[in-house]
Amino acid sequence: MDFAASSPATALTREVSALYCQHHDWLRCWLQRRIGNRFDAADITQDTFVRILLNGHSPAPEQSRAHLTQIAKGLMIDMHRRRMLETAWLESLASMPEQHVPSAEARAIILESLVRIDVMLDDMPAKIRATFLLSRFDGLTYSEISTALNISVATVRKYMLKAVQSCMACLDGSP
Amino acid sequence: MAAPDMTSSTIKVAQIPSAIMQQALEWQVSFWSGESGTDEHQRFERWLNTGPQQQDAWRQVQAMNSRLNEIAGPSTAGALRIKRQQLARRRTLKTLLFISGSGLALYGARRTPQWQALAADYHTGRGEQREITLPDGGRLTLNTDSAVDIAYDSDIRRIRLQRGEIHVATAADQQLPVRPFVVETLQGRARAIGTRFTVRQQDGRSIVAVSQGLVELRPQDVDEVLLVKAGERASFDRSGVSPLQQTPQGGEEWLRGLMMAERMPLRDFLANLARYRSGIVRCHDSVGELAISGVFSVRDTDQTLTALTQILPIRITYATRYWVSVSAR
Repeated sequence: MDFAASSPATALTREVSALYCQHHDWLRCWLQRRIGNRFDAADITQDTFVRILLNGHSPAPEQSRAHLTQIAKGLMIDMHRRRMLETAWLESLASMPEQHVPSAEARAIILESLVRIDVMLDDMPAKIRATFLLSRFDGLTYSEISTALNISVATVRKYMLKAVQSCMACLDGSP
Repeated sequence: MAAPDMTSSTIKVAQIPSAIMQQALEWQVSFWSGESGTDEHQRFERWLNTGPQQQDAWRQVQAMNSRLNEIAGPSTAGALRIKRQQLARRRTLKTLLFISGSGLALYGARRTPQWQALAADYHTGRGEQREITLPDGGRLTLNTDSAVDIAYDSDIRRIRLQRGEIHVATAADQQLPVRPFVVETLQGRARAIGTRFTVRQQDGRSIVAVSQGLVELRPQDVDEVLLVKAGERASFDRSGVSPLQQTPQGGEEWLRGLMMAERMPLRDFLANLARYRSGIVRCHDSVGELAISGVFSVRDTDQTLTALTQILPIRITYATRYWVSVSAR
């Protein structure tokens, strides 16, 4: 998140600084009331302003708080998704033999991609999602999937073609 | 699976005609099948060597594929699935939370211990009933929203009632010596002696109604025993048994999809009916004491609610299918 380099000291930075001074404490309190956790509230407050800098435009003054809370809500949902996935994954790892457990660093990287995939799966129809998971995560061949889901191999292929397009959009190689 | 690897660390987002990108994706889908043959690989090689745009497209697809391969495996598959199951279970509840606005208190109060249903041998959802034949030929029926474990061994025939309500029609044990037949609840155990009976698990109490034979109740924490005979009903908690009541119906009416009421306060009636539907049925205080008598369906609870408005001065409001309020007309 190297936003300092990508946005030089311009009008935007000045505007966001002003926004930060005026609303930072208010936003943190607002978040803390909703989440009930001081540290998470502070993190999300910080990320909200970073997000505005990255987006490259600051809200009109009369819409400042509405804009801030909208971004903060999105970040809260992201955090929730990430935590749920992480917990579910650790649960799942706990049932595996020890040599398969990745290092903390590898885990952070995998979790990042996992979050993206999870967002993508949310947008997929259930049948395509099931087909995709069986193929890419469980390593089943198309014939095996066809038997498991009671659909034709041609349909499996059709679903996978839809899935691969979503994958391109979500795992495009950018960090 | 063994597609040629052309992964490059730097991916330039070149403008590739969408038709060519589509072809690259189709090749990827073919290789993912796990069933592609050598002639398919040869055709792929020919396609790839058609020109630089094909190669660029393939490079981009491979960048995606290698990121996918980095994370794909049994443990991450497990994570994605566990999370989805949790969400599916919470979804109904979430709908309610958004309506009610007072989220957390309600969540705490209404949350059902889902792990019990998952860990149980047999369970039913709201409004569902299920009949099971026991290993000795006896019959076990689960009422709405119930969960049981069946644990038969060489010494005892044991049913653990985790949640909800069951009806048991015992069969004579085929083994000698005859093993006792016992239903365990969170508060103690009910031992059957050639019977048909019903056990219901409530908050902190168990209720037993006997329609045939004899059942012996034994609360968990005290050395006390009570015999319940046909046509009787008793309840117990961990530390004791409450007095007996006569029940002409034997508490079995739900087996036929019915619910009986005899001068029952509307509040209790609705609480009972709510066991058979998803969501919440709220009873306004002003009508909670109205008495109700009759026989009602628990299979079609919407119809039962409508029938109530014809016999009582009440009004039923549906905020959604899952949120019903009953108040004075």
